Amino acid sequence: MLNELLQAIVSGLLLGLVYALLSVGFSLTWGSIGIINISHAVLAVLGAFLGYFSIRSFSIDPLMALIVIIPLFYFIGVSLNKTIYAVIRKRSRNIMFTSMVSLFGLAVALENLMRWIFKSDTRVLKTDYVLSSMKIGSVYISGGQIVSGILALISLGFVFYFLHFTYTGKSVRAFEQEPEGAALTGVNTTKVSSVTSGIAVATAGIAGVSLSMNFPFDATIHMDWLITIFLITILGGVGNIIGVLIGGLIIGLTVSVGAVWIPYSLINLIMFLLLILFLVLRRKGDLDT
Amino acid sequence: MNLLKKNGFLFVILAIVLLLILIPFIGLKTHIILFLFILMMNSSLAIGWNILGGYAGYVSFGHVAFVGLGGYFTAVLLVEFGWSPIYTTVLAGVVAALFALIIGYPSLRIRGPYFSVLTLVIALAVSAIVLNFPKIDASSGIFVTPPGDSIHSSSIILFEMMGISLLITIIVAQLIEKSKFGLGLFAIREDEEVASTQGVNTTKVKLAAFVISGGLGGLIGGIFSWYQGVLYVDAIFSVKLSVMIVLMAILGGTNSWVGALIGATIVTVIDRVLTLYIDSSVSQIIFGVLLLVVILYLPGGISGWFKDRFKSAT
Repeated sequence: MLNELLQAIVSGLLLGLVYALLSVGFSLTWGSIGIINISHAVLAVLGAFLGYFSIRSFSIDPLMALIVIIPLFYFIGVSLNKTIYAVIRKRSRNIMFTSMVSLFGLAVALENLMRWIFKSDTRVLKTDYVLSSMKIGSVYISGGQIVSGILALISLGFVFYFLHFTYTGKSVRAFEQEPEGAALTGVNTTKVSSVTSGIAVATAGIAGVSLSMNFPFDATIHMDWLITIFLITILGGVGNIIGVLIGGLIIGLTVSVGAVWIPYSLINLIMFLLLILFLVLRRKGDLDT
Repeated sequence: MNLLKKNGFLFVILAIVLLLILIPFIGLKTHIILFLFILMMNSSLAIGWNILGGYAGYVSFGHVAFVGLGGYFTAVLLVEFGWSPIYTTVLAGVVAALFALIIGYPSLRIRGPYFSVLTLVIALAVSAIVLNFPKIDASSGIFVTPPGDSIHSSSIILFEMMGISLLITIIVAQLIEKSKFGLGLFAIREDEEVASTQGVNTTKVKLAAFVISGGLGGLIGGIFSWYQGVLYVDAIFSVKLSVMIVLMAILGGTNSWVGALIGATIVTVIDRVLTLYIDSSVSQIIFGVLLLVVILYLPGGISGWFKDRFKSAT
């Protein structure tokens, strides 16, 4: 029993890192440029598909495929900012709300585009390391969990480094705290929103590949991932990177440790109820800094 | 414009009543009757959703919570006790309205995107609860005995029930639009703080709209599950349906039930044609893009666009 618990804790922490990576871009986009990108999870699914087909059709490891996926997704993020986000900013009185509903439309369109092109079979990523498992002490961990956990940790480290130690990153944070003040002190707001959106979508791509090392997936799974993202974002505080990390670890542990005692179908329900609770108890300024 | 609207109301009501009387006699093909059934269902759902989502601007992405609750309520009563949904669907409406009353008070304090997310998750949670509910064994599907002896007679019974529900929905929406209560809802959409200082009891008004909207959803769900034959959780608690309801109302224009009716008609026809001739995912792609474009470029919907045209012409 103790061993089982220990095992659940280790895999929960690894999964938590992946969840944090999945949520970090969403939280950042919401917090710093006020856009609620509902299509974030569906873009992650696209990343998962690209990784899956790179190994299946071209025998290129998904980790190698990231060399293409990351810049591609960065470009998608920048383009989103130039097109849809720009129109939202120009035309809407209520940016958060308009972005949410309109990008819900984009998410539905992309989900079904993927269902149409990639068909609706459930996909399982099969690489040597995903299928293997490792014994550390008395705990067995699958190779997929370890690789995806490390990948997530490195990516999160990069995002943290960027936000705290580079000029552009610092201006993203400045913009998040005080948009007008930041603009007054010479922060280039166009560049900030472009870089934020680019990095956010790039992390979604990496997270998608990481998640495909943990779970089977299909185009419709983005709804589940989206709920996880919302849960972590609201738990950690919108736009708060450290909060996202802590939130991700908490949710990863809850899912993994919960699975020891509770059937899997009920874990989803618990996530839903948790999110309802957070939303209802949340008051402005309570959780988000 | 006002006169036109009033006549429009009478015209639509008369048309539906006429159709209800004639359908059993004019010998339409079954699949056409069932298409009209879906058309009327989508219209009532969009008009019912619009009472809170459109008039008051509280956009719910979880309207199917009520539809699903109502659907399972009538289905379980039919299977367990043999009670016909003709009667129990009214109770299904009451049950859904009660559910709206319970969740409404804490939910409606939350605004904007948070409310939308909350309703989305509530629908997912309700569907997960139904799926895991002991005894009803929802995961393997519930076999619902059809209403009539033949497919054709079943379709006529379903059509009549849905037609009456649509009539009720339109009349309720029209009464609300013309009342002080409706004015309060519109005021909340424009500015909730101002509405509150102008003497609108915002909490009460919002809650009432939510209860009416949810109740209508339950009523329609009670009929929808009878139509399904075998009831699955994914079919009635579908996020796709929730999104379609929002799209129908916003596409047509959320200021009145006329907009929701127009939007529902367009969406249902497109959905049917594309699903039939290409693929259901293609119609979903188009709906997604439509929602995106309409929100950004046509926030008043089709009826709003016509109204603007009409105004600028005179």
